[in-house]
Amino acid sequence: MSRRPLRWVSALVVIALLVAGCGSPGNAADSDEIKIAVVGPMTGDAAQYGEDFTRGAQLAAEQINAADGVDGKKITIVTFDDRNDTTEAASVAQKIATDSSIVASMGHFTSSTVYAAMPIYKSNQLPLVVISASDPGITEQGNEWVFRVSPTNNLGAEAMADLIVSKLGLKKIAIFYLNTDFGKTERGFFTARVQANGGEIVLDEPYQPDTKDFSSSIIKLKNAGADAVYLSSYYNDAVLLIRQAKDAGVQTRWFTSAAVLSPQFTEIGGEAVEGVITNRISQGDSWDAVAEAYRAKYNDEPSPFVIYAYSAVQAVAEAAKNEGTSRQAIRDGLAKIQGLETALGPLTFDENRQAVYESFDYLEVRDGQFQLWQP
Amino acid sequence: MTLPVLIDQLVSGLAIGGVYALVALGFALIFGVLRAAQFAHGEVYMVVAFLVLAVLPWFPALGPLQFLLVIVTAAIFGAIAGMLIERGVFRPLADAPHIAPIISTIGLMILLQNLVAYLKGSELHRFALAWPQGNVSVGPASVPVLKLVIFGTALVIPALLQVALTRTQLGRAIRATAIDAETARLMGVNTARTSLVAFAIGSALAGIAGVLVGALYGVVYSTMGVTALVKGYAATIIGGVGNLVGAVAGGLLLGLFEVFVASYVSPRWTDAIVYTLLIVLLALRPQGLVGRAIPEKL
Repeated sequence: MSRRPLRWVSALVVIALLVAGCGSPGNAADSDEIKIAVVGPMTGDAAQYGEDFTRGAQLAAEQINAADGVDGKKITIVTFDDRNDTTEAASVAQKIATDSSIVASMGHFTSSTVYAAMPIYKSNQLPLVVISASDPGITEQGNEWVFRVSPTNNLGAEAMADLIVSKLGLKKIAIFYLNTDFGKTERGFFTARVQANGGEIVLDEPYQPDTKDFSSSIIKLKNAGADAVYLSSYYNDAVLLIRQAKDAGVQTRWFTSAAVLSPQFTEIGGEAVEGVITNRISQGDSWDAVAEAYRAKYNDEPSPFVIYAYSAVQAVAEAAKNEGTSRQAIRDGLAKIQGLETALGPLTFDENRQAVYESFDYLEVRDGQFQLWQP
Repeated sequence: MTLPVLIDQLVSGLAIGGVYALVALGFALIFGVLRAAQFAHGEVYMVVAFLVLAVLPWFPALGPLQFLLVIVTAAIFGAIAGMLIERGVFRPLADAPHIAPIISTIGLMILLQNLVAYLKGSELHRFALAWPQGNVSVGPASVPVLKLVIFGTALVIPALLQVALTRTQLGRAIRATAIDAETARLMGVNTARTSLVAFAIGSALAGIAGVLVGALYGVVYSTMGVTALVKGYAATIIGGVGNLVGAVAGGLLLGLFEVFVASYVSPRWTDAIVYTLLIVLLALRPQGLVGRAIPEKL
């Protein structure tokens, strides 16, 4: 009798991991509204980003609706949880696409989940506005139903490589990257630009999603002789890595991908993340105005993802106003957007339906907050 | 590979391995006595870490003594949680088929994970102990004191447990129950009490491990128990199921292995390689490294 439970144990580990949760489907159609799906990680350890999406989109919808909506039609936001999982992203995208009352979708947090969901939007002819996933390849695939308002990661990573190597003269660089589409592509752009600028990558270290113990990587860093470290990471990994490295006595300068921008980064990081430098696309007055409204409503500092989500709703509203509220009309309307005033500043899609970006701000963590920094 | 690097890696592997060892030891103790896997074992570890985090501000700053207090508190929280689970989830199912307590602890695992995520959020929560901090020289290397302390704790506690199991009446009763509960009962052992105690001790170990890992990573989070369960379970298998010395050895080996694979192959392959070896080990020595072909429990 002693061995039998183990067979159950092994089978049930699998079952237990599968039994996790189910989403809830959308509702019936209503022609007086423009229904937009917001999809992202609403649960799990990336849930913060899903909340940013939802709040940003809802804030935009509220403000547009308060000004009589889109020719009298109200914008409605419905949220869907893809748990930041590629399989789940595909099935949620299917659910969204088959709900005929939904005329546009926005989100999926990571490049991996966007890649999983993109073909489904295309085959169901539903426009998707990407608001965070940053792999340039997403808008280079000729999928005419996919638009992106957020910047691609080559821009931020290349600007960072220019800053570190050319401006600051730090030549020996260690890079840690999340072993996903996001991390791998950003690492590629960063590395290429560092080398082009005459720098040297002295440590090139991937890590798996959900890593919490960075000991072995940190030991390598300790012995790599790096002048600077660049992290292609989200805030939760970046915070742990930096804290554990500082606890282990590593002294170097830290630079990160813009993906760490979240109040949680400084909250969890505390003292350890002081002096960490990141960048973001330049923000104008319209950004500040939305940020102010967000603070007033949620008593919290908005992340860039809030602004991207907000701008995506503005873009869809504009498309609906100009071309009509069918899925096809919104797709066509989005494609025609040129210099639209959004929270991001003037929004123009290029021929690949990618928003055009030009300049960057640099930020340093000072006194527990991200503050503007001049190189 | 230079000597300081090697020492650094050894200490890291032994620290995380020590945490696995404590989880595995508790898992093995409970399995040995109750003959059922406690799937919510990782959640005990997680819940205790959150409870300790909640009371941490009230601990006086007493250096190493504070650390000791934290460990004792974690053990008490863990023991209470374990007794509640034994009474609430295992005892009512004592005569049910083996599958019943397994299912109910899986239910408990999901419940506790979601409850904590609901109450505290699913994000990372900062967890830091005032002691130990800083680094210390070990030969030519400089290593975090915390890691040495964690490794030390993971050696001392199993040693104390070993003494308790072999030198006390209750310990002998637990071992007798583990070997054959029916016979032990006929010989006058209060097996209901021994299973409650085994559960309390096993869960106390999980609680201690939860706090140690919180300090090691610097954070606690609602899904941390899942990793603990998988690693603790793997360590138990490596050592030989139901074998306490094997559980500790298995945990330490697993930790060392992870660090060395991450260091000399790639962090990207750690889990793949470690679990492939686990399968190979199971095929070659199903009784585990330390276990014997005819398993002698505890």
